[in-house]
Amino acid sequence: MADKRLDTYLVLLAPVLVRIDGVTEDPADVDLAEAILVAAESADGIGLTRSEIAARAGLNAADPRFAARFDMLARAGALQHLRGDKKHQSRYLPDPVALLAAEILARLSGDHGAEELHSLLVAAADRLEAAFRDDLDAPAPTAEEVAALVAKLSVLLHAYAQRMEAASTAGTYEELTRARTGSSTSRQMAQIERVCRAINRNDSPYGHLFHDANRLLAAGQRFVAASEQLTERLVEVATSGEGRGVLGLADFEQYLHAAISRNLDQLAAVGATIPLETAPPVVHLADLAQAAAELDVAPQVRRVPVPPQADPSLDPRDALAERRRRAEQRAEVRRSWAARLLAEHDDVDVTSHATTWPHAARLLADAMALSRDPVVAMAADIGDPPLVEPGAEVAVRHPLRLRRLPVEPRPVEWLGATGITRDAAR
Amino acid sequence: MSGPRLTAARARARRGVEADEIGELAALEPGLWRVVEAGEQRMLTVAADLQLHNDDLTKLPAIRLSATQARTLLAVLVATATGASHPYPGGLTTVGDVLAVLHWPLLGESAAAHVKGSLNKLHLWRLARLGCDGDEVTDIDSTTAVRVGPVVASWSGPWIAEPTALVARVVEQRQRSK
Repeated sequence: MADKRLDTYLVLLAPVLVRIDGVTEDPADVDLAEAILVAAESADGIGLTRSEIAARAGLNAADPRFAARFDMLARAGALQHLRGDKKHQSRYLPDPVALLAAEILARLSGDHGAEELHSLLVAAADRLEAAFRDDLDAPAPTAEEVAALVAKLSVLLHAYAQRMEAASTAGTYEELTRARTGSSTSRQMAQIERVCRAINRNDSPYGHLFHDANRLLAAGQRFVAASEQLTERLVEVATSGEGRGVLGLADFEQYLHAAISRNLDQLAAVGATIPLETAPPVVHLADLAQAAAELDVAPQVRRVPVPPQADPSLDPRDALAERRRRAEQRAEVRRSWAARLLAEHDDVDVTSHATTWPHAARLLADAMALSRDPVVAMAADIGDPPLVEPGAEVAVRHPLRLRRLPVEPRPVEWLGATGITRDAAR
Repeated sequence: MSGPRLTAARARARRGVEADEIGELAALEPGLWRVVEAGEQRMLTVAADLQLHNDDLTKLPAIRLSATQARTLLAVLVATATGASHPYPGGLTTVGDVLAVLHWPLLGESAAAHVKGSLNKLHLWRLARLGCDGDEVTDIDSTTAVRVGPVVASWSGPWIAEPTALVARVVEQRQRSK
């Protein structure tokens, strides 16, 4: 058991050993060891031999400094030993725990553990609240475990607060920046309050830990106060001198005053020196290709719409001529019919010719047209008295007679193509 | 904000890199930024692998050109194309020619206004250059001179052949339709 723990610790500590390098104070050695780890990380899952790692790290495999760092990493377990394809060939893969530890170290040096502290608080609060949910997958912690957890968290918060208080009392700008833990303290405080509420609930099995909860709350309050004090001090130091970083540029009051009191040219001069992080949009091949595709479908030249094909039957002049032709044809038919009827008689009764209403109407119209036609000398007489024939289809008829006129037809004047005639004498 | 990033931001705001800043800017992430020679001066720009490249760009939180801006940039590239293997420096053309590529006057006044707005943006981002050298362009009309900007000079990599081929194809289509 103890051996296993030692192995895990070694692996976990391997990146730390790389960074601080327990046997040297030469930064070049640290760079060299980091280069080896980075090269080993690029193994693509099949592992690299010692000489391949050296080549990827840009180092000479025969260099004793490379050998020293490489052996240290291999011995610590950060580089896992694999059997190679050849008999005496060894391949190495980075250990996952070592990779994780390297990430954690990078985060710790990036935000000074602010995210880890927050994660710890969230996990503690979640664990305590699980006790009230009857969740079989996450069994409730015992009272002793909660007491130990709360004590640890209190110590952790006090330690952070202690460091920040020391820095804000007499720290330089760099020390203040280093001691800063996270940008927001309210979210840490919210988690602390969750833990305390879980302990102090009415039905809580941890009710007797009331004083521990109070101590945790006090530690949280000290942490928050120290953090706020540190931030204030940081702003104070940053704005007091020149070249102290971006905080010196971003003093809101100064900019507000300048915006009100300075003229546009001065503001433009200031604006030109304000560092902006805006980068121009990058050009994507797909965007250009899309634009080219849209350009292809657009019409190349402006075209006048082609007029539709003219239908000769729709020409009004043709239609008019056609109607005149048919009217003339009809008049000729009518005249020849009248000439046949009156060939042997001067007077003909055509009342019986009207057998149906449409026929009677057409007959009447023809008779009226003939009596107005100057070419034929005849007239139609329409009688008033109705003739009732009960057996016939048309119930009521008027007597209709055609008679020859004794006079010769008068000379007529044709009015052009209208088909209308007018008496020349009139 | 670290020192190199602050220097980078100032260099971008100034639109040029001073000689004494080069050493500090070398500390920026080389996969993302680099200093290139553009004409007589040096400028800080996105690394070559990222301009135009299809695969890497999708993973980056980089801003992309809008559709109109991309269309306008393509029109500028087509109008200034000289048949060379790289679009920079290209020929000198006018806004009217750029609009003609986009089928002016069928485009309409409103769409032409958008294109002119995009030309202004491209000028701001140095992807296109409006006016003759040194002139400050206040109003864009169809006679305003246009050429590709210095950022185009920084385009490199194996994929530069693709936009060149794309532009050549559009140029060929235009000549065929005339």
